[in-house]
Amino acid sequence: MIEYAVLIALLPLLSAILIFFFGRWLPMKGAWLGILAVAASLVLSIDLFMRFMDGSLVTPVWSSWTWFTAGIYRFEVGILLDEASIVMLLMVSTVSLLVQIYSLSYMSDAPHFKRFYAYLSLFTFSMLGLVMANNYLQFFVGWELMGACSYFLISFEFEREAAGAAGNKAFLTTRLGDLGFYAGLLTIFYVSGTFNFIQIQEHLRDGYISSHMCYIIALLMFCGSVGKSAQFPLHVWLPDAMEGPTPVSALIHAATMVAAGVFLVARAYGFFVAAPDALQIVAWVGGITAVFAATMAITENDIKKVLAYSTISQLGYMIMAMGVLAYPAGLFHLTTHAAFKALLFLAAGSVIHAAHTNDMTKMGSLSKQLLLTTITFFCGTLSLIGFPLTSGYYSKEMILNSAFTGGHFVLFGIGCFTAFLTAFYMTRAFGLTFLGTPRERDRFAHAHESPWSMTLPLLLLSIPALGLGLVMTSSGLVDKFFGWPGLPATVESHKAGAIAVGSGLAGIVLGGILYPGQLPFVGRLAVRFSPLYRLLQRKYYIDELYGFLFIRRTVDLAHVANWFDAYVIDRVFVDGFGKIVDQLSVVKRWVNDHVRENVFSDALARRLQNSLAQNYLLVMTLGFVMFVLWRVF
Amino acid sequence: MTLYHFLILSVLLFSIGLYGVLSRRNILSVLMSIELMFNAANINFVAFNYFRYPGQVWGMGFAIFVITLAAAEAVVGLSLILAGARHFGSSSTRPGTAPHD
Repeated sequence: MIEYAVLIALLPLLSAILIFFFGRWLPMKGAWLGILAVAASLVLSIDLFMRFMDGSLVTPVWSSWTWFTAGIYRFEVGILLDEASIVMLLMVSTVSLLVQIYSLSYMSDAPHFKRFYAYLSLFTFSMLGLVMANNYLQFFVGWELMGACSYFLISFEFEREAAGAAGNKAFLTTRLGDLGFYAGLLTIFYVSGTFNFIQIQEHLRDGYISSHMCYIIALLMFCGSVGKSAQFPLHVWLPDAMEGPTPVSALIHAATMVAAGVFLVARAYGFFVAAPDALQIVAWVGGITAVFAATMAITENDIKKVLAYSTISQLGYMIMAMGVLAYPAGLFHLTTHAAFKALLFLAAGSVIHAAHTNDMTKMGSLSKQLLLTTITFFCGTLSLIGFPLTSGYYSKEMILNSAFTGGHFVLFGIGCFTAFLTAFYMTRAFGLTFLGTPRERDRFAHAHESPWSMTLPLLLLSIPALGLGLVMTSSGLVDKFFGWPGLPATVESHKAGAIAVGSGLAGIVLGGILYPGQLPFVGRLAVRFSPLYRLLQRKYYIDELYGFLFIRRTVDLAHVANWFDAYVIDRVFVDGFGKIVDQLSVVKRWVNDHVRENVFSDALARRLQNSLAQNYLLVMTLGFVMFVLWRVF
Repeated sequence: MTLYHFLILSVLLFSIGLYGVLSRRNILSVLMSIELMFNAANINFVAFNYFRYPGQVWGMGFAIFVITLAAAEAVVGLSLILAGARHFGSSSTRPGTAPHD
């Protein structure tokens, strides 16, 4: 009796519909409805989790309903509960609940407050529906719904042009990846005749799908992940997505939606395992993205964009983990990352709420005014850096460890360097924001701690950000939840662990020395190495490159089309027909002079020819009806 | 639920759409009414497929084509309306709002 689990997804959908249509008349614009619905989802998820833990729920369980049948094929909507989806359900509903509570104050002044909650609920439904999906088709539906919600919420403040442009960029860039995903879906259906995860898994196990096919499918699916999880070269949309409200960044662009790309790789892992070449590509894309994004974070002054780059970088870690056969480590990092990155974003939101700017160079010394925010941001920072015993430490160690023991030494090196960079830029962000002297007196004086509905989620998220890793590792939950049969067992390597921790600590030390104490020196450094600095600040000129390669070419194409329209279609066809009619008017004049004057009265002709196209259509319709009547009777 | 229920629904939908196309003066409403007529046709396709040719998919497939077509038509239509509204300052089908020679 697992069907009730479907309520986990349906309740947020219900609240989304109610808020959207009736929110106007509800108290608080229906925000409490969204919170209540996702709280109920959380309770149900916890119940599932508990039942899984005490053994009364034996996974995997599934249940499905027929969506539609086409010929011999049956398409279904259903739920599949296995270890990964139970954890994801818990994670998504928790973060979504906290973000919705947080938004009560954060968004209270926003116009379209109702719409915001409707979209958040709709997003939660899409993500939960995706996580529970028992087949790729439903997964894809949830995936695209999330994409749409992401678009709506990035351009939520659509009055600002930057927000609208960022929404478009996110939508179009991810759509490019989705094209690959969609082609992958069709290929899967072509080779196996079903979308069902379990049936496909059986086909794979029985060797019905050739490894060549697996390679193609794996790469196509991975395209979707690259788009959604903002991996190189489709990473460009995520920093811009920070135009959306901060709670949205926390929920969608840090904790849940962008992680869905990793979850897709996890769901399709059978294809990847069967195609080692594809795994290589996955590992390298992840590794390159990790270090690439981390370098861009170093020179970024926008606090949210620093976090966005770090999200890209951490997603790169997860993808890399998937690529080096460290499936458990990848999903483990996904879970811990959701906790600490949601925390960091919400804390950054609290900072922005107080300082009224995103620009870290205008902040400084805020720890004196925002004690709770500082402490919670610090917890998140420690976890992200991978400071020993925090959550991020365990999951990141596990990834690097697997890379090392799996013989991927270059990737291991990249991972350690990324850990160093991560520690450096997070220490920098923390130093610039909270320590040192206030760089803008007025701003500093007016900063005040956020209300409890914003600080409470911060405090609650600090707990998993610090403790989740320790709890899950020490109780063996990592292997229990994130297992994939037939993978090489993780071997502890103290050497790898020491190198990784050491590089993290080195980053902290370097960052701590430079920020905030040595700002003038840093300024001189930036001037001294200005080409490099500019390269990083301009994000390696990738936006410009894409602008030149794709956007300008599209505009060129539009110019060609415009020319064709103006000269061929307009001149030859439109004007040509006009000339023909002109010639015909000779006939018309003759008719006018000789027939109309004598046969019709003026009034009738004028009523028929009143240049209202719909009248002509009406006459046509009546004529057609008469024709039909004549043929039938 | 027999085929006739669906056909009646489809006729109603088509008639509403036709009425809208003929009577509405706002061109956006006209476009929406055209979509209604498309959907009436889709219902026919799917209903005939389901009741008369169970086990086959061509009716449904054709409905998908119509939906795709309708989407493309909406894109073109909306951009024409937008261009028209910018040019004439109105989106009415009424004569007199369009320039006459």
